[in-house]
Amino acid sequence: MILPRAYAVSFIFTLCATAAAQGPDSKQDELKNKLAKKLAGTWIKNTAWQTDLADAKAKSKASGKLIFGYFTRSYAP
Amino acid sequence: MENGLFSSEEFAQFAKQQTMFLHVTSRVEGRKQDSLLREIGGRGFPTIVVMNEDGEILARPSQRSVVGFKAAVAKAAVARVQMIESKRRDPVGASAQEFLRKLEIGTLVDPVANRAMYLKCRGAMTQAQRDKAEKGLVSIELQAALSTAISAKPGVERDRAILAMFACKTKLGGKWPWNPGLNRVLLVIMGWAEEKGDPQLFESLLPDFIRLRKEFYARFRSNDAFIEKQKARLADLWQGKPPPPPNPRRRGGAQRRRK
Repeated sequence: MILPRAYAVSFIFTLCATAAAQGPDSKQDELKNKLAKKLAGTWIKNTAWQTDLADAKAKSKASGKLIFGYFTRSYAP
Repeated sequence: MENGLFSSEEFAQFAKQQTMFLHVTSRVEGRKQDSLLREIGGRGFPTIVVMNEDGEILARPSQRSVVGFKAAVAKAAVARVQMIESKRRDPVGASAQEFLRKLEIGTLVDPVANRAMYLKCRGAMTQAQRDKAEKGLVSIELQAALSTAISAKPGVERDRAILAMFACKTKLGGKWPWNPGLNRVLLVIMGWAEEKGDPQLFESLLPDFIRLRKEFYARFRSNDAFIEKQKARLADLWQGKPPPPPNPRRRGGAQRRRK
């Protein structure tokens, strides 16, 4: 009787440890997927967006054009 | 907006005349500049700004349309010329103008740094500008205290933040700044009053809260029910009932669904 209980405890412990180990990573993977999906939007391809502020500043300095900045998010709709 | 306005031909033509910068906050750990919006003093999504070549925010569009964007760009172009001119002629005066401009477009966030910046250039301000600056600085202090009160657990830190919010009210001549943002301030203090078992304090805030909700939030379908809920909270508090457990998914109780 003790042996199956020990197996059960060990199994539950392994499950919890796996979930704890994979939890943050899977959340991060989900966030990365959402970011990739956002950046693949058609509306982004239609306009020459700079995604690095330093590049945008350099381009603005060279062209004399003001920077139109649009700040959005990918982790929520 | 992204699949509508930003995908239109009119916007494409507008974009050709500007340097277009896109920033996506992702919450992906270790991603470069992921919290850029917060660093530049932006609040909420989406945020649209017009900046100069140094990344300084010069204007925000008042409406989300190409016409609104063009108006903001025109305003920013004027501000850029004025900034260059005034920096050359009168550096302290230029700092004062820059401070007032940042205050107007809402990019000042750090209360201590902002006050230091104000003290350096207040000599170049008129009395009316000083009054405006002082009022704006207190509003920023109020927002900072509100953020602390929301994020702190019940205890000394939270108590201090609430007291700091009341100190701001005193600095503003005993009146709360009357804008939609006051909703959250009042809700947080009402929650604190509930926590402390103080129905008098809750009741003293309720008239302002109801007036504010009716003025700024009447378009929300659940507004009346939300007001009634606060009255019920007060009735429970008078009867000595314990407050309900906090809902971790909703802080401040904002009602998002519109009529």
